[in-house]
Amino acid sequence: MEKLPVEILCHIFNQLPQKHIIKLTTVSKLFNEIIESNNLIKGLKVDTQTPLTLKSPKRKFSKVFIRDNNTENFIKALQATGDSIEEVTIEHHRTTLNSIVTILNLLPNAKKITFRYINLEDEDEFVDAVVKPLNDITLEFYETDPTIFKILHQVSVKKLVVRNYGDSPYYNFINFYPFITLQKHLISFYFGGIFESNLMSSRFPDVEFRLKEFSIYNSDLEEYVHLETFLANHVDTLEKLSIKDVHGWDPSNVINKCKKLKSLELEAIETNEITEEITSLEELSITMPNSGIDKFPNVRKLYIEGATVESNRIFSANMKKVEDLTIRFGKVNGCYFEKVKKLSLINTDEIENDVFIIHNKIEELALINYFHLNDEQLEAIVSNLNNLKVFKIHTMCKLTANSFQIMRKYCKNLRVLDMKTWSQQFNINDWKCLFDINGIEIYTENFNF
Amino acid sequence: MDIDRPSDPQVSVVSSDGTMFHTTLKSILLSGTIKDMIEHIGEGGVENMGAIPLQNVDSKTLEIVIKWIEHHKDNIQPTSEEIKDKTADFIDPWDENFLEMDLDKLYNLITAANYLNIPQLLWLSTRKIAMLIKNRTPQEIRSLFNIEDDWTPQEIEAVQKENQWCEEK
Repeated sequence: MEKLPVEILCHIFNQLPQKHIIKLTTVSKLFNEIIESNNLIKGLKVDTQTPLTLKSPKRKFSKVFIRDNNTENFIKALQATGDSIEEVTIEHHRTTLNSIVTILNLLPNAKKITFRYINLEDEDEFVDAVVKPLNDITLEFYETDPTIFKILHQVSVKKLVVRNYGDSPYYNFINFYPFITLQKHLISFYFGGIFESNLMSSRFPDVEFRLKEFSIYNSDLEEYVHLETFLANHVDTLEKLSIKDVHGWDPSNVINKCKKLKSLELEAIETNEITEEITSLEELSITMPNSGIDKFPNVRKLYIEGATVESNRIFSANMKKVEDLTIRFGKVNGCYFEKVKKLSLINTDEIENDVFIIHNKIEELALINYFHLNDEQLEAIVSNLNNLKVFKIHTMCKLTANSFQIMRKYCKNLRVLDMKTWSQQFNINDWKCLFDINGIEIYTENFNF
Repeated sequence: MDIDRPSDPQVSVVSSDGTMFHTTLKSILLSGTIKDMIEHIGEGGVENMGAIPLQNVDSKTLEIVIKWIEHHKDNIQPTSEEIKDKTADFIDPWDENFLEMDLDKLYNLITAANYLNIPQLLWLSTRKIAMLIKNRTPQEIRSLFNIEDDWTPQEIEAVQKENQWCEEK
């Protein structure tokens, strides 16, 4: 193997998970040198298991995971390798604002910082230190004391995630407001699992940034007026809006005003007052469709969860351009999307064969957890789909060995056949007839070769 | 032949040890290196073009490469970028069977796939080696790949200490 060029060895090693690359350093000096000089080991870890007697790391890491209350250890590690680190996750349970300032100031090139479950205990002792400027970074907070925003004033954020505050002890987001007011380049804001906190419960300050993406998940607010006022400033720039499990809010007013919206996700949301046609919308994902779903004439990619015959009829009548359709749970009948090229059906009710006569331009079909599939229906499907190129069947089903003969007969253009989670055992003689289809690639997990 | 499809003219290639192989244009275009060469010849030149010399590939290896490109000539080839994101879960059984060969042949195939710039073949063949490494101990890796253990126990200890900084994922 040593006669292969270094470039190729790197290519091989990079296909392995980090623990196997670590193992390879002890195989030979050459391997260790290749791994070291090409920085193939990317993840640094500093936790309570890291012995204090260790010298500073020699390797250059690009990611670090800090899970240690022992300041001495991570400072030693970050002083040696902090410059090369781009991704940081800090998962202390209890730490201090001062320690966080110290850590982040040793990571001048961080591009993504994640704080998980951080409990800050020193608010009184805290002196005026703040984190040095960091630009255009992604910042994520999971159930982390919002006092932390006090030290992040000089951090300029591009993407902000604030989530998992559902059952947390943190109510008070007072330090969040000055932080957000200083932001200039924020384009994506996600918040989830925020209820019973004071975020969005009073008037939001004026901000300089304009969002392209906004997501709110699982966050019931007492009133939505402040959220709507906040979003009103971003309707000219918003391209992606995602609203899931937010009870008691009809976001129709906001949606009506978004002129550039390309992608919309709604889960368990009532939209009774969408009055404007949103012609810019290209992608729609909707769970439990109800009213107000007939205003998106240019959607090309549609995802429906819990489809009914009625909602399928409304969608079909109003969205003539859908090319990529996914239905998860519910009915497929009632669909009439002439342009569909890619169809994925996940856990749906039994499908009538007519569906494949109507949608005969399909090039990619995925049937996932569709237990009703038998040889007879397979024949009805593939005999109608002359252009089928990719066929995924990921389900327990009633297909027999004869199904391979059926595919061989009709699927002249099939390029990829991907079969997973079948419970039947077939042997090579059952399905080798598929090799007659020119250029087919077969992906499977439980057949005997 | 399907009349909608352009014809697939014959192309010849010559291995480093002087053996000539005939294949088709569609197959040989799977090689990025040859594709670049042919693009420089310009259209219309393909029929009159002489045999393409491949100084870095011997006849035994070239035969194997041609078998693979002819089988896959009608498949959509992923780009190097797409391959980077690829997870090694499912492999076409034809390829799995194709890659059953001794290590020396496999090394030659990897070198050829790299030189000829056939991303999918390079990925498949290097993945094969990665899979051999995955579930083996360092000692098993040394004996399988015939690698000499040039570490002293003290040196090994130092390396292992250094590795305590690495995340075990």
